Amino acid sequence: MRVPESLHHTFRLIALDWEVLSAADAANLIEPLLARGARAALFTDGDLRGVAEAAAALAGPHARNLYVAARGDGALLGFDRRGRPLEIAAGPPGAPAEARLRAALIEPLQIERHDVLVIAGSPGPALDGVRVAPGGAVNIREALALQSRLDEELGDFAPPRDAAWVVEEAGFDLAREHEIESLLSIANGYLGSRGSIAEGSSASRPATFIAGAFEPSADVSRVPELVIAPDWGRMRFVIEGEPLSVETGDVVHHRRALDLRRGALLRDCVASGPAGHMVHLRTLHAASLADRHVLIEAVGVAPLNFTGKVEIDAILSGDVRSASGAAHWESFDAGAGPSNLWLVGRTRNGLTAAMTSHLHADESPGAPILADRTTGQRSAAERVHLEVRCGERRDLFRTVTLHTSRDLDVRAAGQPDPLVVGEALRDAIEARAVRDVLRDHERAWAERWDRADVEIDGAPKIERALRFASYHLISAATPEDPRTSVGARALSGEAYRGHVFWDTEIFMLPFYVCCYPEAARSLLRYRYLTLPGARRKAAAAGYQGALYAWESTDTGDETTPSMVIAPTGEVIRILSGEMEQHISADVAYAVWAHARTTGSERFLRREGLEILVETARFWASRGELGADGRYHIRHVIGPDEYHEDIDDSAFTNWMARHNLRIAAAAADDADPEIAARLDLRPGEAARWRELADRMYLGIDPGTGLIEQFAGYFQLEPFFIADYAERTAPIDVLLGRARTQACQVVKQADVVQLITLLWDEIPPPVRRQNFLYYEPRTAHGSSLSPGIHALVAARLGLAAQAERFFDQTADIDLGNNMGNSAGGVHAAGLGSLWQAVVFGAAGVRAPPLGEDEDALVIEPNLLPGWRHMKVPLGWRGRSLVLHLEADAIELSVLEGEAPLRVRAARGGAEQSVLAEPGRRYAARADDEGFRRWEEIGS
Amino acid sequence: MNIIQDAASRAAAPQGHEEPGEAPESRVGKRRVLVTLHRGAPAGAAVAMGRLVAGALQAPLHGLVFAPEPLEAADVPDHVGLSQEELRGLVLHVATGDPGEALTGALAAQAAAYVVVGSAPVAAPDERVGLGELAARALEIATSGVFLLGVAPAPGSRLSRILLPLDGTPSTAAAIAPAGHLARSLEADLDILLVSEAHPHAPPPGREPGALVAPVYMDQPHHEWAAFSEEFLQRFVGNIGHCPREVPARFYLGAGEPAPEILRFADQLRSDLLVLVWHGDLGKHRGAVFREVVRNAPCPVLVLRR
Repeated sequence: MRVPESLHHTFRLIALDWEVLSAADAANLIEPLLARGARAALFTDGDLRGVAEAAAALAGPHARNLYVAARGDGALLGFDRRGRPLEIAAGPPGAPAEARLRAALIEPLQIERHDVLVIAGSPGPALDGVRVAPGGAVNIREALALQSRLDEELGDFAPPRDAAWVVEEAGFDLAREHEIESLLSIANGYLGSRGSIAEGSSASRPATFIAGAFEPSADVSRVPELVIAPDWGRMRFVIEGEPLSVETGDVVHHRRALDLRRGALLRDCVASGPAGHMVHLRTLHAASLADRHVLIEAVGVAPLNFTGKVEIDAILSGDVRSASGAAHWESFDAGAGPSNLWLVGRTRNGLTAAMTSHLHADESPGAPILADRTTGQRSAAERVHLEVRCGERRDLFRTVTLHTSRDLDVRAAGQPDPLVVGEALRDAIEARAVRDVLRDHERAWAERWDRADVEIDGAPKIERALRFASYHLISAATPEDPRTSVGARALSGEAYRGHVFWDTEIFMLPFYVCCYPEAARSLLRYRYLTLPGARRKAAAAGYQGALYAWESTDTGDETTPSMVIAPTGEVIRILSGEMEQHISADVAYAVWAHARTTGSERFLRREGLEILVETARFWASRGELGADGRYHIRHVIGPDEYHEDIDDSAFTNWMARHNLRIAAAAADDADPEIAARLDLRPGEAARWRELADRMYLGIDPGTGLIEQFAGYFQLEPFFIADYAERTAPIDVLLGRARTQACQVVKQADVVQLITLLWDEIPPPVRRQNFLYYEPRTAHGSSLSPGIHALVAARLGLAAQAERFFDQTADIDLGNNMGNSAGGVHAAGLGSLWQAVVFGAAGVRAPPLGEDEDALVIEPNLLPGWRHMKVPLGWRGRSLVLHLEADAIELSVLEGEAPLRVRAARGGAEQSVLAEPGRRYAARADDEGFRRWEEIGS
Repeated sequence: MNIIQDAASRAAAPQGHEEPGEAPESRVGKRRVLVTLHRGAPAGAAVAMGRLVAGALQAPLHGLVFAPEPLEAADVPDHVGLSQEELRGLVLHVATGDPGEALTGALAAQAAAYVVVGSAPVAAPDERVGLGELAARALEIATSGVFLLGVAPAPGSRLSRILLPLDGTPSTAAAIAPAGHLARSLEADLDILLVSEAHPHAPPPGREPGALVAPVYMDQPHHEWAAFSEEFLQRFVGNIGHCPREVPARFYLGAGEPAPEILRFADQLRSDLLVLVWHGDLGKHRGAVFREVVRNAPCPVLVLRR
């Protein structure tokens, strides 16, 4: 029996009648699909619990992906991580099981109808999808067996079955192409490539960025911008003499999928040209995480209605230009060997970049493909002529290397020519099976996910959004080059020109510290290496010490443009580069928090000490003692950038105070040699302490409110609810004058302070301030909703927390802003991780003065969040937490010494000294957590 | 002066021709520009506008003269208040009877790329749109672009700045191609305007796939505005609107009620022409912005149908 063509698709949700399956079929056919991440919903007329028990047995460890639904009465069961059934209450009261399934799974994971397979008799489950009536057990068995077989047939091109591990874009929409390219970008911290289609279109904006490589932009201010590397992924497909184009061709099907688990961008396209030759084209692109100089490209092409010829051009092209209009490349040399290509470019500022390209016919090592190779002034190309047979797929693999003259490994090799290093790597790859190169990359991603993947049962939308966030954060950083940091849009787009802000230290770094500590150290070292620029900025402004650039690139010098012409026609002076000085305290905070979280003071006591001392010196010279005996810092901008040139910004003052104190503490224990080098004078630390103690903090003793800046409470009252629906930032709608004259807050400011200095602010004060500022906050920055989600979760404000979690998850994936076209919002992604781990999971360091070698967990799971699994690096240990509303389970996977873990609820705590290699659990009741128990290793 | 005498009830002109298979741009270029001329209307301004457009597009310029009775050729200048010299080069058609009917017939018969019509009401305005009856009829029936000449002075010797308000939806942008090609032919700049609004109880902005509103998250405005402006122009003017790349285009953002903002920008930017993309619905609760703008525009308005 031939399985219908409509079933030749990798479905993500399979709904079927339980009764038509035999137990053996279920075990043999359903379980492998569940293991691959597909969801199955079994509908039954029988005993729901009995079916659930049987189904759970067959699902084994993959029961999390299984649902059992009662036909007719609305009950829907899922399974917890132990395989125990639990009722899914999603959807409105009294809703049928299908509605619950939609609310709990299909809608949050955006499972499209073409990804749903319904195998049932009439009428069957009321689900949109591809429907097939059971014509008998054989029919079902074949349909399910095909599903398993398809994954094997597709091999590397197989899209993820698990909708929580994929970001997918169907069709081709000229209007949305730029944002899709951003969302689907691939990167490895050394380079990043936007997810443009290989053959290009009129809307395509392909770009590959080289982290840390800056050249002057063509902006009015000529601020530095990331170099756009030569285009390595460009291809041209000629089908029987006609170039393939999704714009002009007849496209039957087009889908791109970012496989978050594998770090691979997949494309699946069925299209025909003017003469009707139809092909099924599949591509894969990856930026190797195993060797950051390697890019991988795979193409599978199958003619669907003809036998004939297909030509594929693989191109290295220097025909690139940045969005600012700058042409960075001054000259190119291109060449072709017997089995490969190379392209070397030199920028106007002297950077040399070398690319090599090598085509592989199949996975056999040393089997170069026959191709015509040509070179031009700015490009090199190889053309493969394929004789294709109807219905048969031909695969082609390509590896590309990229090296530049600024690479540390190029320099370490004592080799001034990056092409020589690139060719050596190319030769090494050529000697391997290309699939092994891909497997290395996949293994590197698997290792990262082991330490970063958070599971949230009951909140699939947030779980998927967090995977997307973690994917881009992992992609953005490299532990191998401390001269680079992560820009505001990571390596996914040209907006912000690759500039580095406080976003990195305050919003992203916690993720790296807990999940990618090697990268965290490298990011902190970037701030050490750019300290000279910060010193120059402080000196130029007439202060001592170090004032970090609000916008930093490679040297650490300030790169914020001084003015901009707004689209309202106004010429606006940009003051943030001059006045947003909290950045220095933010960097110092990050150094301190890194040491507290990792338990390693190595960086803090060496490079970090220099940062702390120099930033403290800045603050000690920056403020002034007032007649009230208080230390005031005037003429600054806080995180709320709607109010400029203000005095005594609470955020700035509190963070500066913290900076002074941690610097003083570090100076007390300073290595004499470093102290001498820093010219650390006697009494300097004491002076910092005194200024910290005198710092003006703006607390209203009557209300407990922290005044955001001097005079804020006297401004015109403002409530964002009055502008609930708007199509522009609130400051644009109100105008600058009114914005500055009223209490509208751009983004978390005092609330941000609460997050960072949680233990310095008494619990009632936290709540009062959150409830005061939140209604005044416009969330005009992507940095804001995640921090509000975090604090709301910790304060037990569940409804608000849910709203802010949702908002944070939608910043890029919600496609509701239009400005992801310039790249993903990296700080927003980092804030989502913090909201989940620090907010909902309630992970934090113990208060100052208490045993620092400890972890406090105060879970604040939101309604409907049944279980969270959180991997965490904490003070040198590798932990996995399992959190439920009333239980914590903890495994210490790695570590050399026991860690004090404190389970907190309602002010009461239970602690355990958790030994490496062991598991512990604590359950809670109304009075708090009961004693921890070891539950076996 | 060529005169073709027609009755209102009959087809008003020889058939225009279209080359099958030509690109839309070239079709536009070879189609006619039709100027409506009748007593009491700003005929001089209409002819001047028609000349500018026809000249830029290298299109034949035709005039549709409305008269209560058939006219002799020599009487046309007096009838419309223009000299023979001012009418030089126009292919004139005289239509008798109801002007609206005559225009309907002419547009049905002629392959007009654009029609130019005075929009200030001579008598009682059309209730739905508040313009003269002929202008209202032209908007109602024309599938081509309609130039509305209100009380604004006659266009100068060239149109150098064209203001094009967009609502951030692909479906609207899809209709602007003629404006882009006209701008190129006129060597004019395009000023693209998006107006943002805020109302406590306003319906949420449209969710048309690919629609853009000014970004709600504006982390660092000096970066975001540049990126957003560029994206808006590329997405709607270039990729969807198919405006030629060589036409200089600038992006502006207005805030507040759309109609006053559009009029404010037209005035502030000294726009020579305002282009409106219109859904064609003059129902009671729709088209308020359109009505207000076409009535009060400080310059001629070109209406393109979505």
